[in-house]
Amino acid sequence: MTRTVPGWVAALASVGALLIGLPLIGLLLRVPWVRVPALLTEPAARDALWLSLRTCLASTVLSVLLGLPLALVLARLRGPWAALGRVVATVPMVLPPVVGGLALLVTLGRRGPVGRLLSLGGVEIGFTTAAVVIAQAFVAMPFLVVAVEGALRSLDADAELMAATLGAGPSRVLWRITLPSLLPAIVSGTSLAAARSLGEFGATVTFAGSLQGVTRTLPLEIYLQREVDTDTALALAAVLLVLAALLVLGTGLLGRRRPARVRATASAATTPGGAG
Amino acid sequence: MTGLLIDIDLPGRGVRIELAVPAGQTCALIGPNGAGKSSVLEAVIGVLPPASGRIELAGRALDAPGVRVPVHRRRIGWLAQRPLLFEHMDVAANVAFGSQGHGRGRAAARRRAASELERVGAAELADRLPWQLSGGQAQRVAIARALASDPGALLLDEPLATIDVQGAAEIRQVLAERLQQAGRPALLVTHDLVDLWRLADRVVVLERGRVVADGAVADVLRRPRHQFLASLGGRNLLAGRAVDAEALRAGDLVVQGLAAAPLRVGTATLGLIDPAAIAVHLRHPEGSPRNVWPAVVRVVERRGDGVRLGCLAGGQTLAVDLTLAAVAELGLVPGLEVFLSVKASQVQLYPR
Amino acid sequence: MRRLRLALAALVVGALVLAGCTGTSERRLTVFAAASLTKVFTAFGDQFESDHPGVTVAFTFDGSSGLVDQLRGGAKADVFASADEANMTKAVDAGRTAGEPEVFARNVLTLVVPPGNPGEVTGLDDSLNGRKLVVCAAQVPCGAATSALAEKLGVRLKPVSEESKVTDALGKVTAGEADAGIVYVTDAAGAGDAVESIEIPGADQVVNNYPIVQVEGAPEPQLAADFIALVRSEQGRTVLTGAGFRTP
Repeated sequence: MTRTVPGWVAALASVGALLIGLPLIGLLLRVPWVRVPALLTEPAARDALWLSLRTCLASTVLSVLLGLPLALVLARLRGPWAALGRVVATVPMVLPPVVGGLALLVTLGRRGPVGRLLSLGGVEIGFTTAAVVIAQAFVAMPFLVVAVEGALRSLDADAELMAATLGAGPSRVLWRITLPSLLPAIVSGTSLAAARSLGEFGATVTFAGSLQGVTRTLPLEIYLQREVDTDTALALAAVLLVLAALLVLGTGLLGRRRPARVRATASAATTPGGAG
Repeated sequence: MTGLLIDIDLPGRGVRIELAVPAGQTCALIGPNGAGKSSVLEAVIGVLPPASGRIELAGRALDAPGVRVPVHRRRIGWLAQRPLLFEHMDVAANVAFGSQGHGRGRAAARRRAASELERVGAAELADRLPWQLSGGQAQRVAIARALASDPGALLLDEPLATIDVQGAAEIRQVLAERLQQAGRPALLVTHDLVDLWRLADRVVVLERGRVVADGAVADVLRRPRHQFLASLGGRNLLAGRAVDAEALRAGDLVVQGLAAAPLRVGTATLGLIDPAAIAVHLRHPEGSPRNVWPAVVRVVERRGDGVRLGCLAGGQTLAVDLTLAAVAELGLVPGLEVFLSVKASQVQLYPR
Repeated sequence: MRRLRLALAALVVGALVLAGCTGTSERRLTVFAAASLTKVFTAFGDQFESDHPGVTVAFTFDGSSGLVDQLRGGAKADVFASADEANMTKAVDAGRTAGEPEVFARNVLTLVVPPGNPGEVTGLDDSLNGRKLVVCAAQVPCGAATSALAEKLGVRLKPVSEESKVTDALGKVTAGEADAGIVYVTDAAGAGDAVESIEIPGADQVVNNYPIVQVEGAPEPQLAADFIALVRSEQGRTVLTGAGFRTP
């Protein structure tokens, strides 16, 4: 289906595209591509890249593992608790990452209420790779929660009820009906979360610190390299850009594997008689 | 008892109903919108807990004081207006989902699914995905799926409402056969007279949350005692008092008719008139008809091949069916003053 | 629909006005200064404005290298004050300076610990074993100074984190997350009671110089010269020493 848009919308759209596209193009033009391979073999860069990939994977898994249940519960909650839960779950999205990092620091840090307890048990999160993963999950999980929760709200609850009348218990309904229906939203939410994890800087630098191979992820390395050599920073930035692009592109392809829904389902209400 | 027993109070919905549907019987639940039909279905499915009372299936309590069986353990099959097929599974998997629910193995479930599809005439659809089916095909699959789960009772919520006339006729046939073979209690909500005739053994009329009529389909339809039942059959029902052994006064209208037994003057009486039996005249007709009433045309609307008039005569609203040609010839428009006539032999009179 | 269109237009115009409405008829001096100078330079700005009625001083405080990037990118500024000589050299090499940079302040490193010194750190010695030490990364001025000092003193540091900003290093100490940190004396002074300083014997061996210069093509060259003069005046030195800097 092609849709025409008014000329002025197209004009604004092209300004929007330039606003996003030009800086990216400018960045790519400034990248010293010839030096990229050599720069990537530098131990500092290699460590940062490897650490970024590892932590991004871990935090994404964590986001899905915890974010999915959270979205399911939030979507079913009603009343003021639901509103509160939804706000709490999405606040990290609008919080400046540095503030998020501070929040983590004063909570999970050695002096924080949770950190102090962990400290007694001999666990200290600060300055460890685990801290990086927690910081990333803190800022990334809300993207997944929001994407999945939105999809859940528009999901046909009658299909789940139908599955239950066919003898499927809550878990079976979840695995066989709800989650498959949510797959597109889960895929896009996961890719958003992963991309956010990959680019996470502020919360990591504030909460986890910065040490090569332990806590210094690619964005932190880029920030640091900028102090010395802008070219190196740009080369690493290009790598980050390519990784993020691959991530978004890959999930886009994954999402398109499902057949297009061109189904004219009757709009009549179906929960045992919408009226009657 | 072996059937479905419903004896519940749903104060939130203003419903208080007691109804027993024996095994093998299909009981139609009809009534105007808002009468509480859906609330009853929701309670039986298990999503609307009754405030008090009980629901039993084959002697097993589903809802009772201290008992509340969850939806997936109630063995209540549900067939809705929309087929509600699971979009990400093919037809065979959809049907197998129903039969797997009760601990049957995967292979056995597939075999059962195939045989159920066969029985609703949808065997060749097994490999399709739901979005590749027409509305009628999808509803056939939904029937197969509901039956494959071996429900103890079946709830049919206007299952043919969204399907075209031709498709509905075929699926109604399938449903009729399967309901008969299944030998389980079934509750059918419908607004369609054909569904009543073809599928139901018994009709229960619900109004404002209460049962107001209950009987065999043929009896209830032949001599409807409620406006809703009469209008379901498209007929005029006049309620009044007998003024003669074979006459009724409803408002300002005196109606001559036939009564199976002579009416006793002063008793509450009903008169049933087929809209097609009423004739329309521009001037007072000469000759035999014993019922002639001055009237005003209120509504003129297309209905099927003909036209239905809504007329006001003696304070009573009467539906009149005419051909398009007759309407054109008489120049009938809303507001026109006319005379209605109907033979006494076309009016059935019976005590309320 | 018309109302929606009007609202959209108003929104766009409003956003542009808000974003660009700083332009006034007043004269305006733009100063790019290293983040560690925030406190003292803000004081200089107030002083300068009261000395020069009708002049507004606008500061951009950032890491020195970030400021150099901006200058290279053609940012308009009148004065540039760097936290080290390396970044000043970059600005000179890029041709964005007018005249010779002059050192107006010096800084040395110190050890800081959280109040009460829970890690019982006594200096750059064995007391750091098993303790969490944060330093600046070697790529930034304070980190370069830290490595140089460690080498001169012959100690091996095993930090748990090499921060890219002094504030991040300091923040870890004030939060109690780290047992000790190595920062500039001025940063320690700026943190007030949030940290305790432990002087490093021999810290004088590595001195960090803060050079200041007029920017090439400055819109307000005379004001720029006046501002630099203020920073280097006797009064300026008093302010700088008050903040922990040493002066040449």
